[in-house]
Amino acid sequence: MWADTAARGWTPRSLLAWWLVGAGWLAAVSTGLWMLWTYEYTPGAAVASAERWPAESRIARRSGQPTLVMLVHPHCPCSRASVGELAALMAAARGRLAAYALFLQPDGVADEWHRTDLWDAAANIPGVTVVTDDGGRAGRVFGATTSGHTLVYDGDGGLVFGGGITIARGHAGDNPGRSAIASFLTAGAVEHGTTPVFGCPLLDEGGAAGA
Amino acid sequence: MARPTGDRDRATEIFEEDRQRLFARTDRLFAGLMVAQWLAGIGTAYWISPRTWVGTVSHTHPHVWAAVGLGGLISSVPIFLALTRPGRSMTRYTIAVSQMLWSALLIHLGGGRIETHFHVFGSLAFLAFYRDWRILIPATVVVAADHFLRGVYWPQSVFGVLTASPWRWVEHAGWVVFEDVFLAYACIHSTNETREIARQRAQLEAVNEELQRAQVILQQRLDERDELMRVKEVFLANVSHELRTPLNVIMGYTDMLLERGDVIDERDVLSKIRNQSEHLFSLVCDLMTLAGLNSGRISLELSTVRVPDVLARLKPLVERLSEKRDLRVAWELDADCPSLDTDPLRLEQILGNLVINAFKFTPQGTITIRAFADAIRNAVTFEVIDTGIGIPAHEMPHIFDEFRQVEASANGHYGGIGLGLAMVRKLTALLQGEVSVTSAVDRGSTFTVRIPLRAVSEAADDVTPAARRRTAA
Repeated sequence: MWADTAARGWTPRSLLAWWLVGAGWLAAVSTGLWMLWTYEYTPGAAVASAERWPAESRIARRSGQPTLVMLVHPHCPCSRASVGELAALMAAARGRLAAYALFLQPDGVADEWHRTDLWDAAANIPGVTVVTDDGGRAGRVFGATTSGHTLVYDGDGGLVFGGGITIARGHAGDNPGRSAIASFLTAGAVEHGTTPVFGCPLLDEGGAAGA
Repeated sequence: MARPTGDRDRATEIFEEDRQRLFARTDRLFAGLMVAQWLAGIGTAYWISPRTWVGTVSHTHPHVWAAVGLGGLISSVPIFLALTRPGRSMTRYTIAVSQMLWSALLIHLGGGRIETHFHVFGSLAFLAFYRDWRILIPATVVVAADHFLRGVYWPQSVFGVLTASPWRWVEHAGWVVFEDVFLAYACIHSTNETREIARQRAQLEAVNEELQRAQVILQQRLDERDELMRVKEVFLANVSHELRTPLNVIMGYTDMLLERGDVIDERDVLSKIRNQSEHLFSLVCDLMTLAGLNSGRISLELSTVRVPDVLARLKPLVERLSEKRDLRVAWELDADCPSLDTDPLRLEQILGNLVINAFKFTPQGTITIRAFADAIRNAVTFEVIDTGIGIPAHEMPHIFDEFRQVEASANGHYGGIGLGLAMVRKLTALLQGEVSVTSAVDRGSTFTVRIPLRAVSEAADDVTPAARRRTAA
């Protein structure tokens, strides 16, 4: 490359200028990628999940069978990966796990606001029951603030796992959350009881779910 | 077998030209790909994640801004370089880096789908279009750096686990290097093939050039042969005419004498026979002289020649030619004209032929014969100037050629077989002189002959007489 530039009559000044432009370009691209990665890998706010199955929950838990609850913002694109991971989990669980997908239906929005492709995808997973979470109350009951937040309770209603089952926003693939739940189903033990949740906030910035 | 250096240089030249065209073509291909990837990135981001939500409030998803802004930034510099500096090494190295950055961006925009990871391996294969294995190095460095940095700061993003060995990124980079090895081999092999093709093309070019040169030479030889054939035909026709005509006259007058010797004027008839015989003799002498000049058998007899003596010996010829002609002859002799050390016989032949020509082609007017010293060139210049028919411009280049006549003479109007001026040129060269002509149609011609004072060098003053003979070249 040096011989090429010299042969083509590059002056030291023009060469320096091009190197500066190139360095600036690389720096700008690197900064952009860094910001993207930071966004991708920044989870939602960490909250404490309900340690025991909430009594005020409208969902009936079958005693003696582990139950999974996933809270989903129906319009969150990142949760598409979470629903995909849920499908993989249910396929591996083979009926050992009862699963509920609670789709946020804020107050004051259209009745069909929650009926998105995510709702349909979750409804099509065998073993998963899709339920609307009117006003986001279930999220508050279970202690979830981020779409994709997944909780697993054992047969006695004790919390086994609470967190996300993706490695980054909208990224499918191997992840510690799925591994933890699978480990519980097969061995009864969980290595990581909590993982970051990557998704859209379920609540408005004021903490309300809708008007 | 050693190849000629010229072929080797030309082969290198062809190889570099082909290589440069390949680089430029591939640069433009990637420029189009960059645009397509940019549009695809925007489309992917808009399709998969158009908006981000906080409760019931939505905003344009950062992925869309990343696709538009960051994607545009990644594509802009390589597109600019591909369009303004195609074929440069800086361009293709920038493209290599940019293409792998696009892989990283598309994987993120696509939600980390495994299928999007194929973009990495596909891009390396596309970069191999350059047939330059060095291009794979910066591309591989970008992939390795991406995995290394994310492995350090966000290990779960690379390996799906919260903690991983710090060398796991090497495994991922290793798969890339695995492909690099095969692509590099293909690049090197392909480059060698291109070099061999260039060598063969150079050889073919050399052969074609030789063929073309040979063809040109062959055509020249054919043209020369055709011209010689034509001249031969003309010569044969003219010589035949010039020989038969006086012979016919001689035979006719001889028959007349035999049959009617008692009633005709014998002196008049014998005079005519004598004239025709003289003409025939002169023609044969000219032919013999020309043959001698062409074969180098003519030798010079050098002696000190006084210019007035030479001109005096021309006068009988001039008087004979002037008889019953409406022509004025002027003689101009420089009083300070020095003597020449040359062959007087050949000098008289030269001037005699010029004078005969002047009389032949000047129906009326003046013929001037001049001689003067040329001190600058150490020579004597002779000029024969006529006011005759002149020489057409297209005939001038051939006026001193053998058996060549101007059109009018070739048509038989003025006789002769085209030997006189050819002999003038050859004899002048033999005397180490120069002959030239200027002419205008219907305004006459001036023939100039310049003879050096000494035909041999000054240091030869003491050589023997035998050594003073000079043979025609």
